[in-house]
Amino acid sequence: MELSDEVLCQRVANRDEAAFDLLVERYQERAYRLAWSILRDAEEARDLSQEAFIRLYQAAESFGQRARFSTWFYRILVNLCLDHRRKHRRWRGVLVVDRSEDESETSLIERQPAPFQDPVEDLGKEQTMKVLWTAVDQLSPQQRAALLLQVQEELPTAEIANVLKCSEATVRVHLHRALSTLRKLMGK
Amino acid sequence: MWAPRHPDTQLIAYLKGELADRDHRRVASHVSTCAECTRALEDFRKILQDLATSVPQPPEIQWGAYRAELRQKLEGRRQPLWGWQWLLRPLPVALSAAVAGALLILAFPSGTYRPPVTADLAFLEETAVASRLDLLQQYSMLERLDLWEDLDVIQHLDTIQPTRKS
Ligand SMILES: [Zn+2]
Repeated sequence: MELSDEVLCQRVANRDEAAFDLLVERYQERAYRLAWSILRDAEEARDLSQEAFIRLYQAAESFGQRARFSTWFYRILVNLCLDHRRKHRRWRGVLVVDRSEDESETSLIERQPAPFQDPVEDLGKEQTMKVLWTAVDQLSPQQRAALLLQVQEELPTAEIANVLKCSEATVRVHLHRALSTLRKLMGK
Repeated sequence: MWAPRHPDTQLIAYLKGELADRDHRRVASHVSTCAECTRALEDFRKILQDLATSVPQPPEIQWGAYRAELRQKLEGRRQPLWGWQWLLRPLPVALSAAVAGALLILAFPSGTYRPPVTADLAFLEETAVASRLDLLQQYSMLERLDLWEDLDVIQHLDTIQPTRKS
């Protein structure tokens, strides 16, 4: 029977090197891909995903069985990447200024009817997706991270909240703002 | 005239089927009578679907090399500790020399044999031991600072609550 991630992580806490190797093999691709989607730099993604595994190794003891291993690990990884971006101030242009975590700011989002004219007709599918993802890259770090965890990892809102260290309500606001921005952009 | 409040931030959770029954019914009922929310919901669903089916892929990686590099980094992270342990290695030697010196003094009481050199050596070695212990204390403080840095990132990990059963 295949051992669960949680059991493996407990073994890593007891310095079981084979368990660590197995966890790395299970998560290496997801970790690298997620780091890359946040950083958009292959070298940095490689480096920071490896750093996340090192942190996992060092902190395995503090992993409580109350959490799913994946949520716990993503939390280490995503926060490493977000911290890295913050330190290197490499978020380029930002379409939506998301200065505050304040949920009351929701009301500031303009609610203009933006009919979603299917742009596929004009641009072609591939080009449309390119535009869409370029827009994703321009979102604020928190909105973008929430959206990536939703779209790529298909995490439930509660887990996204755990990864991003915020409330579920805040995640909902991030996702709503992100999608509203993309919608307006694509509806042009 | 009464204007309905659009359940903006609940629309995604509604799409994901995450709302509690009562909220789900409330949003469903609103959407069924609000053209604006119906459009928003449909657009959001389409964007999420488009994104999910077109996730850009990062450049490929040689996973064997990736793991080897990770191993190397992990070993490197242990290096400072080994460095200090190397420094501490003479410690047992110094201790046993001091004990041997003391035994010599006891075995040859005053008059018969005085090993002043050994005693001086023992004193010197005690000083060396003390300074190493001092170093050791400083190191453990540094190590703790490092730990704090790590903990900064993961400090709330133990507060994670389970959200779904696997
Ligand atoms: Zn409405």
